[in-house]
Amino acid sequence: MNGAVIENLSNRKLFGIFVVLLCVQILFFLIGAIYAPSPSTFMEFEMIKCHDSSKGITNEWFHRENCQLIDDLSQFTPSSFDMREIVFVAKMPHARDGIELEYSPWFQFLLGVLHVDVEYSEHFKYVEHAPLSLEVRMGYRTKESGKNDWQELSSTNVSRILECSIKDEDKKEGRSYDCDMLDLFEFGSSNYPFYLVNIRIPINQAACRYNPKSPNCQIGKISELRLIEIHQNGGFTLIWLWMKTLLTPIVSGCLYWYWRRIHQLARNPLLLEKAILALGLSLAILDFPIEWISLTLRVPFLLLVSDLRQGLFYTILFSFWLIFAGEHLIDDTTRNNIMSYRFNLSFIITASFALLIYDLVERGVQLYNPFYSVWASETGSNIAYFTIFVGAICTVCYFAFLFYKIVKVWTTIRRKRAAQLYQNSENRRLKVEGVIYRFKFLMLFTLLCSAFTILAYFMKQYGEAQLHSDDARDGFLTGSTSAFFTGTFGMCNIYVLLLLAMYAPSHKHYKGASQLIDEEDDEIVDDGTHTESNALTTFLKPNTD
Amino acid sequence: MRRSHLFAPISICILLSMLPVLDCWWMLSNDDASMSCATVPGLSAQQRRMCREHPQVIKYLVGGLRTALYECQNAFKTEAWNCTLDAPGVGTAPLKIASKESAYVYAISAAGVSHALSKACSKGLINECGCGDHPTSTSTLLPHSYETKDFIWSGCSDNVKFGNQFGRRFVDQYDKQHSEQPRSKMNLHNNRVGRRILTSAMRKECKCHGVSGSCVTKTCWKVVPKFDEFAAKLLQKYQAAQHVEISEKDQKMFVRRSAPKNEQQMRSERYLKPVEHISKDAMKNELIYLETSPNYCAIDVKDRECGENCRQICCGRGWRTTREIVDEPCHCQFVWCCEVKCKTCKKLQEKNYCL
Repeated sequence: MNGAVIENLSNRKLFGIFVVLLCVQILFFLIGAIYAPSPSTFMEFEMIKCHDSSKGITNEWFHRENCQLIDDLSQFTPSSFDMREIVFVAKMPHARDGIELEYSPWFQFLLGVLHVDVEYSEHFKYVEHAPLSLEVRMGYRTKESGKNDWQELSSTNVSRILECSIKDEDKKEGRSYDCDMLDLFEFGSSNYPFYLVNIRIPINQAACRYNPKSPNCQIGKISELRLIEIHQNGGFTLIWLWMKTLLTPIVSGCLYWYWRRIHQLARNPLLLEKAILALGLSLAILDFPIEWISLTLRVPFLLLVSDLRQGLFYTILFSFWLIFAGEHLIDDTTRNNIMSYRFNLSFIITASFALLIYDLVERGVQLYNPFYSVWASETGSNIAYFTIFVGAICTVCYFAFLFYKIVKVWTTIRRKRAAQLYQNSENRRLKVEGVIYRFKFLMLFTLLCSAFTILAYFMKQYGEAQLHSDDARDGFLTGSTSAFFTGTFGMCNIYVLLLLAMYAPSHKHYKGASQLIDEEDDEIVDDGTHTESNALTTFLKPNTD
Repeated sequence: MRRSHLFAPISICILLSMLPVLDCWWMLSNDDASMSCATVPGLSAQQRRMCREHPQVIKYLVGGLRTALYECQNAFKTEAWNCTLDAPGVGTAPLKIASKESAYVYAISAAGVSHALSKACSKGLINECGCGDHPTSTSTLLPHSYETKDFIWSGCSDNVKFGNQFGRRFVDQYDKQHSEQPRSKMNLHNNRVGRRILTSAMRKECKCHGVSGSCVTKTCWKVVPKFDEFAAKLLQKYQAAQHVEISEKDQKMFVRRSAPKNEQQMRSERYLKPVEHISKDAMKNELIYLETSPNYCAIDVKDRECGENCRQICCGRGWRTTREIVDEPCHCQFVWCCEVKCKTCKKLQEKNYCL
């Protein structure tokens, strides 16, 4: 009977492996903290207001050069009632230091958030939950084309609900409402260097008279539109991609080694072994640096793909924990059968499925219409709330079950130990103790990783708070956001790699156990281990002696 | 635009040019379109050069200055001194005196300039705007030209720093050259305080954009406050401004306390702390002044409208009340954004004027 590699490793080797892994982990953190810029950045565009005397009949693009600037909307007297002669304009990105900046495919995604500044006014009353409708035209131009030769990328009507609030004591002319920002657009790729946004806020007077709840009738006195564009930093993409590129062969190699080990066995692989293999596979999929193609091709679906990959990894990781705990219930006869987990697994599957639906609706539709937001319509936000609610409930149930299972395993272990039932059979005893040891090892390691993640998360929160305090200084923790991402990513990899290595079937046999299968000791285990104390034996000493 | 017309042209620089201590870049706030960099009197050589080199920037700088002075007048409209910079009767221009009021004017102007420039930057109207401080770019691996590399590596998201930087270079220029003089020290300090309060009044907003919109990935930015909100904050600072003294020997500032109440204050009186020392906690965000305010009641307030606060504004000279019936819009119906349909109502209006 073979055990896992972990049971046959000496203390010294195990300690050595841990030290090496810790160093690698620290290296991951340091790469993020020192070398990488923050993961994402923004650029603020306060949209300039231009006068369009043609009222939008011509297909003209408005930009800074041909703009008849309206400095203050309240001073502007329009000649018509539909307000289509006011165009809000933003050219992205800004010029800086006298140089025309440009977007790059390295940014991976571009998303735009719109902030509407509504002034309090006695006459132009804002009514809560006012429907807002924007005529948005988005244009792009390439580096080769002329300075103002804009091509149409998208032209659409965007409907959102404008949620604003104001304190009673602030209800004076000219004071501002505090409005929620609106999601405007989301591009899954950034393939053009320049973009131009033209927004109109048309009003249908007749519709307003007929039904005040018509779009744009109750939005109050709009003074400004601010567009915040957010993208991933090119530097972060670069480091992220290289990390993935370097990890992929390692993970693949390890996976291949594990797979061969399983296939060399004389028996069929156990459920647990299959689960570990699946975990390794999902990590390999997560690591695969498919993003390289986005640097040359226009592949807006990558954002969705990366969400799906992450979803897959977490689904399998959560399932693995459940199976791992279940498989260590020593006396459970239903083991080694995935069907016996169907009740518990259904929680994970439902949660993942709910979030998958949400993601497909939000990001999937955005592939066709970048201005789509599931939160904009009532049905959409109901669906979104429902899926997130279902997902959250299922996750909570899952963890409750997992916790229950772990407690059950612990009590079983304690009971077995107390009863010392297996003392009469050396082989059986070693097997049970091996099971216990394997369980404890992974449990401690998982807890350590979770603790590390939580610590890193708080470090990140603290660092972000530092960065945005009144006196923004570049401190030690300002790179903490990137460090959190590179660190946790590294840890994911280390966690799975260690699982693959440690829980692979060993070629070595239990010492003292009767040898059922004759096999040579493999190359991993060198001589000298016989004089060393074995991790398993020292671990068990206080209990068995 | 509300600000450009309300701020009447003033000939402050002609006044100020007689006063060697003061620079007079305020002249720029004149509403004179024909005024160019070459013709504004009182600019230093360096300011004139900056004005020539960055005409775009100067345009918005002037706008900011006007907004600042408009807000100043707004804030002080119920006081005897209503932020006039050339009040006759005080004996000299109010700004010549290193009073609390001067401190306020300097702070709000410096902040007004920063505010206007950062707004213009976020509108993309100034090409010279910078990116703020960058983490040192190690972007040798990125296949891009040198210019855009930093932007691609770590973005370019700052609008305020350029405003502050340019403001510092332009506004503080005169006082920096004369920084050994107590008055210049005071001006520099107050300018800095104005900018700092503006920066700290910025509001933080965040957007979550992680997997499925979760907050694992989050981007935050800061929103420059509306200038009237900032002006209200600065007014509180004006009310709590610190009276300081400057020692002749080592050019250091000491807080002057009028009436020490307890032992601790007595002690701080005995061992005067230099401002540099206190600045870390107390003085960094406080306005300072050197002289007590002049008697603003010497200002000629005849025929000034004094609203509700006539006793103070008219300085005991009495006031008269006029009543007239005015037409006022009422029962208004709103049509976004720029149209209101109103009926006209008649209303009795009372107005008070100083005698």
